[in-house]
Amino acid sequence: MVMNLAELQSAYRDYLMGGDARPLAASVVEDSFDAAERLQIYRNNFLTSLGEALKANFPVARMMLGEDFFAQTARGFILRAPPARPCLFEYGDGFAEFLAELPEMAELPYVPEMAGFEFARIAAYNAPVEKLLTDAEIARVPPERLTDLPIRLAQHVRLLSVRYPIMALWQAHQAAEPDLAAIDMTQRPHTLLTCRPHRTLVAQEIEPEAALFLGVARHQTTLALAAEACGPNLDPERLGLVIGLALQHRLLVSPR
Amino acid sequence: MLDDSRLPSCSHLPIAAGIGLRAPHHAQVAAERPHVAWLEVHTENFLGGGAAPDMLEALRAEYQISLHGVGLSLGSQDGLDTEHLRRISELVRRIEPAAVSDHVSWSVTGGVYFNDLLPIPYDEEALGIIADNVQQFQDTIGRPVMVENPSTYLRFRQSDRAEPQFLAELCARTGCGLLLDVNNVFVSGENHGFDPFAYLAAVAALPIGEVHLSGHHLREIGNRSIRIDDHGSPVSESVWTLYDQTLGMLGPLPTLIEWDSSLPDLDILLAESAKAGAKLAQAPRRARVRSLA
Repeated sequence: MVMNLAELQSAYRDYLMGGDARPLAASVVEDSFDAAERLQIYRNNFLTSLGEALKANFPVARMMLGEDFFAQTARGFILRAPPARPCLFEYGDGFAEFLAELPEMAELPYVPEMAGFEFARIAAYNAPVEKLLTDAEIARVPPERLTDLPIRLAQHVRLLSVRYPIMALWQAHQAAEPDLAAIDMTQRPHTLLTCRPHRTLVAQEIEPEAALFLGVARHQTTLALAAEACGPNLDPERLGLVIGLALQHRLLVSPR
Repeated sequence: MLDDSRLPSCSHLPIAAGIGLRAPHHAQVAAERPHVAWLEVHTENFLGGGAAPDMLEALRAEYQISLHGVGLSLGSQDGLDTEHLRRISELVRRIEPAAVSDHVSWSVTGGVYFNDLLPIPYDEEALGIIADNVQQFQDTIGRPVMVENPSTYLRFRQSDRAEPQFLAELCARTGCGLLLDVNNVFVSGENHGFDPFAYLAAVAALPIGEVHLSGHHLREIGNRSIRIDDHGSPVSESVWTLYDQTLGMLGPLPTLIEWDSSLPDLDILLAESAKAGAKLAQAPRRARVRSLA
């Protein structure tokens, strides 16, 4: 029976995702190659090309896991969570969580955090361009209206809670032969900020109060409410540093 | 440079050789501004908000740019992803490219993008669907586009017409042009046993706005071999020969050296482009009978 295009493409999807080739094979011309052999070429292309995309997006995680194990986990992730859209610079959301579920990560607990950091870098770098809140704009707000100024975290900002020295590990892995001897692997919960304030990527550890302030601003809020989230005992000078960080790296937008 | 008034309305590319611009060469091209007639990029690599679109806009001041898409999935029964189409449309407005193109294939269904150019049957249903999608594409960006002939590794039993006829009907129905990939003609011809020169003759009258040249490799399966279009090597001698025949039949056309994987040094890419450019300069300027849609 001839399949219509919807049925054909649905059968193709099922096959590429690991299913049986037979429903689709009946529609394929067989000659010097049978249908299964011809279809296998497309399955190889699908898995190989997306594997290459993940290698490009997670180079340090790949170094940490080794080529073979990375390829194996990438294949598993592709079949669990294939991309929904064709912009592969965005592909890999959820790869860190996927890694964290693997029993092998008990011996490599920092690798999922590294994958999370690498995806945060990608997401920050490729985020849409927005009109960002600057200190000049803050200065134009009448003082009596400053606390009610609506703010929201800009789309180029990513916050990541980690326990391992991910920044130091990432930096060390920028060399072909990473020197890890001097890196203290003691667990220390902290927050990493990744952002793209001026078309270039910035990544740094931030203070707990900054993490609280920016965390609240993930959803639209006001300057006053975000400041309250830092805690009642935060002195004005430290609050000023938090707001200064937000303005220096253009971390906020002010929806009107 | 040759007069581009011979080209159909889907292409304002110089009738000269260009190169595909890929990420490993971005910095070098931006810094050195090599002598090449035009550049083609994969549209999807420039839809984010980082420095890449800014770089492309800066290059646009010196080079004609072709936006060649790989992910719009024109052959998809699901229809086009309107958000993806919106992002493409914004990039087209920003860059004002000399040409916009994608493929006669599909890559998305049921919310999954397969990152490959999957084959469609050549029948009336598929023609209607891809024609609707191409028309929506053109209407959204406000200009005609080119569709590229695919390299394929299988044929569907239900196809009731040959690929050149399908392409001709698609161009007639939508007013789109054809991006003739000569390597794909060769690869598909070898894989399915048709004469590539007969294919060229069958598409000669179509509105062709660009030619692609690229590399492929031979994959052994048991005691047989099949050609895989990987864009990862120099243009083969067989494809150069077919290109000579293309120029002899169609006259000079904008020609791109397309190299996407195992990228060589930029100098090697430019040398391939220069080889194509030399052939273009020698090509007879045939006044062929074709549609200037």
